[in-house]
Amino acid sequence: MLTYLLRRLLLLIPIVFGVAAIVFFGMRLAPGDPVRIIAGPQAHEDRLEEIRREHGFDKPILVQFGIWLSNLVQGDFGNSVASGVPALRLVSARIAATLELTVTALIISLTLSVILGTIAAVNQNGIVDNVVTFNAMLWLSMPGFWLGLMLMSLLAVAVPLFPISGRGDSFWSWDGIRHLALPAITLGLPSAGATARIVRASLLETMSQDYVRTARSKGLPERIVVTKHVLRNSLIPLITMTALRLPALFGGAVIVEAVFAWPGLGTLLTKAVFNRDYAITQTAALIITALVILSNLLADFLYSITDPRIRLE
Amino acid sequence: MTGRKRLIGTWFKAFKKNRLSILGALIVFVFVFVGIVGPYIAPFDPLKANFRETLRPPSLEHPMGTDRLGRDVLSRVMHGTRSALYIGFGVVSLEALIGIILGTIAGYFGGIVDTVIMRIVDMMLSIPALVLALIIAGTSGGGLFTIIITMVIVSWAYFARLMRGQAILIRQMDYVEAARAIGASHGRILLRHVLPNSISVGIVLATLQIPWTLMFSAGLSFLGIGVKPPTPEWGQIIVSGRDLLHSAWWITTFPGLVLMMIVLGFNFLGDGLRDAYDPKQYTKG
Repeated sequence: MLTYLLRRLLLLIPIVFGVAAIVFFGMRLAPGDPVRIIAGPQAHEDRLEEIRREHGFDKPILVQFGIWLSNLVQGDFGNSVASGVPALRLVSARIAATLELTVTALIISLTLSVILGTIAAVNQNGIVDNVVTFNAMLWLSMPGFWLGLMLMSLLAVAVPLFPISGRGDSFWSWDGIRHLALPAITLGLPSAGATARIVRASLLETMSQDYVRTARSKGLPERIVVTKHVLRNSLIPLITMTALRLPALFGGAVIVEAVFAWPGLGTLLTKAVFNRDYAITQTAALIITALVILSNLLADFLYSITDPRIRLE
Repeated sequence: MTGRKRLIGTWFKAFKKNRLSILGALIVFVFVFVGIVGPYIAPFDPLKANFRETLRPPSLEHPMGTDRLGRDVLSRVMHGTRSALYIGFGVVSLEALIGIILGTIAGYFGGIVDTVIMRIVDMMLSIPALVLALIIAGTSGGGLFTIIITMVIVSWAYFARLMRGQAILIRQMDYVEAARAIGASHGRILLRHVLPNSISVGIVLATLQIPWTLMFSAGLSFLGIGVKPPTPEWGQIIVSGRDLLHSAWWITTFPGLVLMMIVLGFNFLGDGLRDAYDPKQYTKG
């Protein structure tokens, strides 16, 4: 187990390195000069030169990349070009808000999809099944930001049940939950649609197994058969699907955060991209990718917990 | 040849059985049709402001209402279908081309080529596509061309992964072994055996990638990266109604509904194609 963990963590290094390179060169090769943005449109050429030297932008790109990487391994993520504050401090201040949003969305998505998927599978091809399957398809076909705007328009503007935007006091307070509700539903619902379909398919697959027939024939009530025998054995595809959707979840969070002005990594990243703030953009992208990879690792551990036959070696 | 014909016949029958996929095909057809002729049949000029008609709610004259500048929302949506068509089909055919070539090569040859390509694929798949697209397109300032290139960069890896799996599967088939035994070159085996036998899986993925691309590009427009403002584009139209949710709900609602319908259509079609293609379905009856 420990060696597995170590090996997986070591494998992270080339991936993070690659992501760092893609983001770094993606930004540098694009037109647009951060120095112009800091100095303002009227700045004199001498002042621009000075800022360039200060931030090391006058060196060749490859040298800049080398310097950035060597600082990175020493834990220095660079400073924000606009404010001079260390990028890592700005980024880590936002992690909690993004995790709060994504984890809640994930809980909503998993709960809904297991319940709906099970209901659909138990009533295979009946009316209930058709309604659920159609709804799942509908949810996963909704553009996240549009769903957010619709929910906002209905439940925050027309009927003011929820606040329009922003983050509330604390996660555990009533105010916090009210602020979190719409963004989390917006992020969770499309994902619930996709996952419910997988749950349904996986349950149907399991239901045709011999041990389910055995369980039924020894007279167990259907409820026990479904919860104890079928559901437990259908969880693996659910975990796989969820792990595969993690990048989309974090990507979707960027948009949902923009819709509801949620102060997370996404809003920070979007603003940094427009300001050409290299350090913040790179740090935020690296942290988001690291979150995705770590949650994937977590999914691997869930595999071995749900199915003891799977050993991590 | 008759064998192949029979296969297509069975396949078509399985597809026809699924009424939702027929509906999906219909929606996709309407989408393509409006994308081609929309700009000619739209009732109003999508760009011309009319200040006597600002923020009109839906009516017979303006079924989707008018926006802040008095432009007919329906006409704007119809014109926007053109760029959606470009983005949807343009992006997916390019990413499919790159993904199919790299994935097939990786799966067929294996070894170091495979390792290198798949490491890059792993990398691409672990960065959220939206984050990467935001960074690339955001720093280069948007525009239709940038959006298309960006979306190809962030999504070719899905095709590569899928086609690699197919190539590995087909490489072990007896007919490939036979072709090799009679001295067929790698190029010939790839073109005559591996590609034709894995392309249908690619088509299914392409059908499911198009709606994803449409939603994704609308999402990018929402963040402020996309086709430049006066050009009618769905994401842009939806965003333009954002601050008017309390007074002019129609500007956001209708274009979004249209986008959702089209995404739904492609998803139904893709599902139908996948089920029809899945050989297990035939035996299950």
